[in-house]
Amino acid sequence: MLPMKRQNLGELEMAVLEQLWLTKAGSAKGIYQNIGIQRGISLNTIQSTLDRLFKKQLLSREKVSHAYIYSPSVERGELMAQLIGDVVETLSGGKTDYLLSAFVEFAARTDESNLDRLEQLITKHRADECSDTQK
Amino acid sequence: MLGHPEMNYLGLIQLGLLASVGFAFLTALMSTVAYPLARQRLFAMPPALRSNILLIWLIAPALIGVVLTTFTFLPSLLSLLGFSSDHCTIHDGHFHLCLFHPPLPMDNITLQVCFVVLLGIATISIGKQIFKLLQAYKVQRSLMMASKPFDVQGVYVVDWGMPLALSIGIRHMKIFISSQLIQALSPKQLEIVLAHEQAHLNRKDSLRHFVAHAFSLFHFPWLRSNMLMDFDLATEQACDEAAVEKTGDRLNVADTILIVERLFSVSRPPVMAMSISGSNISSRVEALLVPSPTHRAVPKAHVVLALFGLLFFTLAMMGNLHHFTESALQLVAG
Repeated sequence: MLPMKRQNLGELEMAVLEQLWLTKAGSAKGIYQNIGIQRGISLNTIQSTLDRLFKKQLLSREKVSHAYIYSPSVERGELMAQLIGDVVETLSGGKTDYLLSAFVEFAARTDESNLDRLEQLITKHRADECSDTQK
Repeated sequence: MLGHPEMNYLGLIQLGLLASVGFAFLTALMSTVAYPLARQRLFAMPPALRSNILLIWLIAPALIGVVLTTFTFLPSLLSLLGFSSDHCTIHDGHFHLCLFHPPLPMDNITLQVCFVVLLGIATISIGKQIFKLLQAYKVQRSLMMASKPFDVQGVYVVDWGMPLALSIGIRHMKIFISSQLIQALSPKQLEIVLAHEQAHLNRKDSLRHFVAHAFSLFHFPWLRSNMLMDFDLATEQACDEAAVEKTGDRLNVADTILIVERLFSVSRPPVMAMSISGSNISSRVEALLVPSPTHRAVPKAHVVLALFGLLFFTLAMMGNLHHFTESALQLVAG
């Protein structure tokens, strides 16, 4: 179950989660070997990232021997749905309106009859262009 | 009304602010008359040029207020630098915009209340813009988390069941496109959508819109909202033209706009409140059905010459501007 709180995740946190979704479970060392080395970050950084994700209730952990084994406590789809839900909520509230440039506006629609009229205009222009070319 | 050199500059700040507001108000007043007359001519211009002119016009009151107020201090600044002699002695009896002899703070209660109100309005508006910036940053961050890089560099795919295509960000603008839109469009249509969004990136439209909204406060509200709407339309049309330039067919761009609009109407989630009145689709499509307006480019040398001319004219009028401002301040606050 995803915690109700809006999730603000950094790029590394997301990468760690992606790795754990892939492997289902893993230790800090294992994750470090998979994503830490290629990123040039230390084992400590991975450990503190895992700890942050645990505190955010996105991971669960179990002590095996001397190390924690982490596993995701949320599904990937669940988290994505929450992130997208947040975006939809913000966009529909019009709070960012002018700071994003959408191909078609989010909060303003053209009615169907107007769209039909515009479509007819385009068809007419295309036909005119074709007949001009044929001449 | 002359103060003493050892006293603080509160009076000078008050007068400077009052002068700025006065100049901004005059510019806004002139705009209410000039804009309706100039609007038709503006719409006959290519959208990229129109959008630039509108941006400058939107921030003109604030900009002119600051620039002219700075110029009113020039005589005092020049004498401070030793280029001319101090002329404070001829000002006995009225406000003087002088860095040597700062005027006494104003004791007019009405004006002080006006300052507080203005300061409150400015703080609220700036706070609102900062809040919007933070919201945009959060949206970008959420979209980054929920997306994966696309085949095209700088474009990210979001696994979303809506026909989303947008660019967002101030410093690091990014393009996001939904997997649903990628599936629904043909490669040619997708190229048009990406070319349009890429144009937003190249033009730094988020930054331009932030500047336009944040610094257009001094315009009268009804004019400001009309100008901002025209600015939005000009921006979108400029990006449509960029898409035409890249893909080569005006009718294909018009067609793609309609297709995405129809997809959006069908698949929007119920949570999203929509308004039918504010859409600019008709204007965008209709503009693409006629050839793009042409405009003879003004040579850069002419622009530089005109700017130098304006600078020399302002310097020549510096003394008059200084005295006019002092007299006006005396009239208002004396």
